[in-house]
Amino acid sequence: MTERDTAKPHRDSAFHPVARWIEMAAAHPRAVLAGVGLLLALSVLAAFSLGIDTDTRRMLSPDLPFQERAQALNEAFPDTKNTVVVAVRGPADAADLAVSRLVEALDGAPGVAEVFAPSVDPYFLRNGLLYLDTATLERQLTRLSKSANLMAALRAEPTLAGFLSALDEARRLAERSGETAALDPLYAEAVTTIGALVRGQEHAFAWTGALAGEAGSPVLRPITIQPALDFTALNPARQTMRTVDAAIAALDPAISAPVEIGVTGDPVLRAEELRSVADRIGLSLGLSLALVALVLWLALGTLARAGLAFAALVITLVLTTGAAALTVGTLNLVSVAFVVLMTGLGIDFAIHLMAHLDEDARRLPPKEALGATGRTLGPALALTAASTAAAFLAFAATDFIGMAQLGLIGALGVLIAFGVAITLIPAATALAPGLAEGRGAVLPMLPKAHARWLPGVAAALGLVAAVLATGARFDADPMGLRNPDARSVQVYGWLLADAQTAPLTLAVLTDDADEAETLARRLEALAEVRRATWLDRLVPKDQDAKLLLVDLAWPSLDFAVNGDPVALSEASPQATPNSLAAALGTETPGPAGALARALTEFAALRETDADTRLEAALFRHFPALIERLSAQLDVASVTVADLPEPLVARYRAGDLLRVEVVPANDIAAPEARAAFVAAVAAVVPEAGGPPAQIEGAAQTVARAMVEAGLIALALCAALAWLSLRRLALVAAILVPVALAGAVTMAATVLLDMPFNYANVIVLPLLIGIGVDSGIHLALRTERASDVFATSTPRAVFWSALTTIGAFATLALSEHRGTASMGAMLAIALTAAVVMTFALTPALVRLGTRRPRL
Amino acid sequence: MRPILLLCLGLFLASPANATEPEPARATAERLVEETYAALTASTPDDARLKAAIEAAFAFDIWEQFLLGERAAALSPAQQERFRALLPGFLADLYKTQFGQGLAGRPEIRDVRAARRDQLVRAAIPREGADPLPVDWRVRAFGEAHKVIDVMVGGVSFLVLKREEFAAILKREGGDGLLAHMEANSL
Repeated sequence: MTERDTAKPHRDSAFHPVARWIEMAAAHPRAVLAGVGLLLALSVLAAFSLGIDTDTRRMLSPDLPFQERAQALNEAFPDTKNTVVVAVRGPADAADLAVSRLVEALDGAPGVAEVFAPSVDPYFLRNGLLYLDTATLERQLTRLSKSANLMAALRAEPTLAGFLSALDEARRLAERSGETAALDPLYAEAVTTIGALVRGQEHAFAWTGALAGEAGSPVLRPITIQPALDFTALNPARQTMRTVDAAIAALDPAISAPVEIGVTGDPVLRAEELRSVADRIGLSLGLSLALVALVLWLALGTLARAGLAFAALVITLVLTTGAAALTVGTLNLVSVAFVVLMTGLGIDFAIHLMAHLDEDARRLPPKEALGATGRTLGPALALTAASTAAAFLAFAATDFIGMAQLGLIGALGVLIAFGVAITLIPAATALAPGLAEGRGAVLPMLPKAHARWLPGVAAALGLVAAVLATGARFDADPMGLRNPDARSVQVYGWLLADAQTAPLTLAVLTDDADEAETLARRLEALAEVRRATWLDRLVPKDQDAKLLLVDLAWPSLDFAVNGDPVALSEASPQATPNSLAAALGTETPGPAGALARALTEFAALRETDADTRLEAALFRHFPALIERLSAQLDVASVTVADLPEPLVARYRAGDLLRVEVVPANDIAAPEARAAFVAAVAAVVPEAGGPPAQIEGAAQTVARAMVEAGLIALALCAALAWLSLRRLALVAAILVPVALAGAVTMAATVLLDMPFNYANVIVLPLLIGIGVDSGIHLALRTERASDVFATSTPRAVFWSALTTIGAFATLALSEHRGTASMGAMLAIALTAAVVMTFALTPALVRLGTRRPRL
Repeated sequence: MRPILLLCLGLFLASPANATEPEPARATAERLVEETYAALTASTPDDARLKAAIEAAFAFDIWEQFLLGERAAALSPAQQERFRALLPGFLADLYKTQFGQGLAGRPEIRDVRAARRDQLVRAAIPREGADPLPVDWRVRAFGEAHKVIDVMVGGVSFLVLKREEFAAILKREGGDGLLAHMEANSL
């Protein structure tokens, strides 16, 4: 009992089991330590069987309706989930060439079960014209017909001279017919190609765009790869990803340079996520260790004592890992954070015990000091362990499996941390009595005049925060966790921005074709839906009208790829850069004049190998253009039976048909996503898929967290009441925790840092540490005339600071989820400490002025 | 508009009873070349004969359907009637403008090759001061009859070109504008 304590220890504490256990550990230190060592060895063995599942979709109960629907979709169409997507972005010709080379390299390569790239698939090459809308088809065919002789001439003489002569001929004809503007796209593309060469760069002539009159519009070409998964590896798609990376790296630089190539898809995103979590982890770990060492040394006074506390922490973590392996077997992205939880709580018990021991050791020999500490602090430690474990168990009963696992592990871990603290520290102190005494410093305090208004300010802050906290939300989108600068995340963004490749879609299953069409029509009537697709809708519409147009232009197409060029204008000498420049006129406005000037500049370079290089740049994509046009000569009426098998497999599995619903807006935005899911669910409640899972998860998790938080607080209150029988003490413990929770939630709103699967663990941690701190400070306040002159607030402060020091450095992570966890931990623990310091003593004192209940 | 198009398509698709054979196609082209050459090289240009040759050789239903397509609905029944009346003269004028000027000899039929269900009959039209101009007559069988459904020079389809031109005029000037244009360019 210190001279600062005015009240008696908790009743019967001399016979409290904790006090007796501490005395026992101190009496048989070697046996106790040997027992701890044995448990450690067993835990290490058990920990080897612990697995990690990073799939956020499995963090919720599979019995939830949206999970069941997603599961049904995944079972029927497993190929839609694990695909690797290589996205090639750039000018159409360059992208198609790169896709073609990549598909050649990937087809049949190790780890690749199937490759599908619509842009080079024979079916789409042959019938692609039928997928254009009628107006676009007509426009393209007209341009093609007009260009047929030009293409025949270029095909007959694919040289610089041939290009200049063909362009000159086209110019003469265009001038004769008064349609010079029709050649502007060709001129503009030639300016780009020649201009690049003059500047020492290279730009391959983009024939498709120039002939279609759409030069410069970049395209996105996806290659979908079904990985041959190896489930014996940590990353089952690892071989696939290696093969893809190798194929991209092996591309001729002349082919890869004009395009952007990225890889994404579920396996890639997950692998890169793990990498981004690991990135900077060394720096983070180094900083954490340094900070923890510094904080422990400051808290406990000597390096040896800091080492003992650290050892208690490490033993707690190892034993908890073993317990996790035996109880849950596989961790997920939330429950893996038990390390954070147990660091905060593991060190909490050790610091409180050692700080109090330091206090008692100043007036008693070490062994007696241990006994005194056990009697004084034991009941508080037992109550904190029981109430925190109960609070965590409240989380174990929710549909949020991730948090349920963490709740169970946390409850076990708290009891382990408590056991380790009351076992290891007495045993070690018995063997090395010098460990009992530290520096004995107290915390610098605010002057009393200022401290008087602190509870009021804290309460007001908490109440304002409680209002703001209503805006807190849970972001269940796994993309929200990932590093936005990670390549796979950026490439995912490319797909998301393209209506043709948007990966976030809903789906409905049916075994009836008529119903599929009816559903598609009803869904397409919604403003939130861009299109609803099922198997029949993959067959081009209005084929008769389109084939008629194709038929009309077919001889032109045939002429372009097979015919001999015809001299349509008066015979002229073969064009040269200078002659064509003179004919176009350097003063002519627009692309024609620009080409004249570019040709004049180019003419000055002709002494070198410029002709050869320009020729190569002009004709790099020309053979592919002719190949594509040749394939189109065979266009014919198509049915479902003609569709490529990989495409059919995405929409039909046995008798089941999948109706895919594509959003009209970018549903990366939570509001748009919620509106899309709600609109579709209003028409087809059984629609499922990732957006529905994200929305369902957000609601489920938010509900689970609120329910679990309230249950946890209620359990803590009940335990505190049963143990203390004082309403004031219960309020002094729980009110600061509740207000700290409000401040944390308000911070998520103000900082636009919503709760996610990574940072949501701050809530149970806040309850755990908050309740612990509240119990210690409340009980000490009741006994001490000036609680801030005792070791307890010091222990509370250093315990929180140790956790902040250990994990705030995670804010440096590139992984958004991890970084937000670091930031939120710092905010939540700071709020917990400030609220406890400001309110707990005041509430205890308020209670003592009134009659006991 | 859509039912009209579908009706046109139906008529068009239903009309050819069999695949076009090369010889009848060649014969059609030869008759056309013979008659038009005679008309164009007569001491006094014989526009009536030229127009008659065109009327005999061309499948105007097809030309009308392709030249107007869905846009036929933009014309009133009376305008459509007028369009049909003007079409032979318009095509005859087009023929005369394209092939009559600088004509330096009798066009020579060279070869016949398949083009889907049609035949392309290649002719070389001698020109003054230039190489002979290769022209393809696209001929389709309609029962026993074989008719020209398109004329192509250097892979460029007259039908496609004129379809685009008519669409632009219709959009700019409406049905009356189109008919006025045809009247101004008609034999």
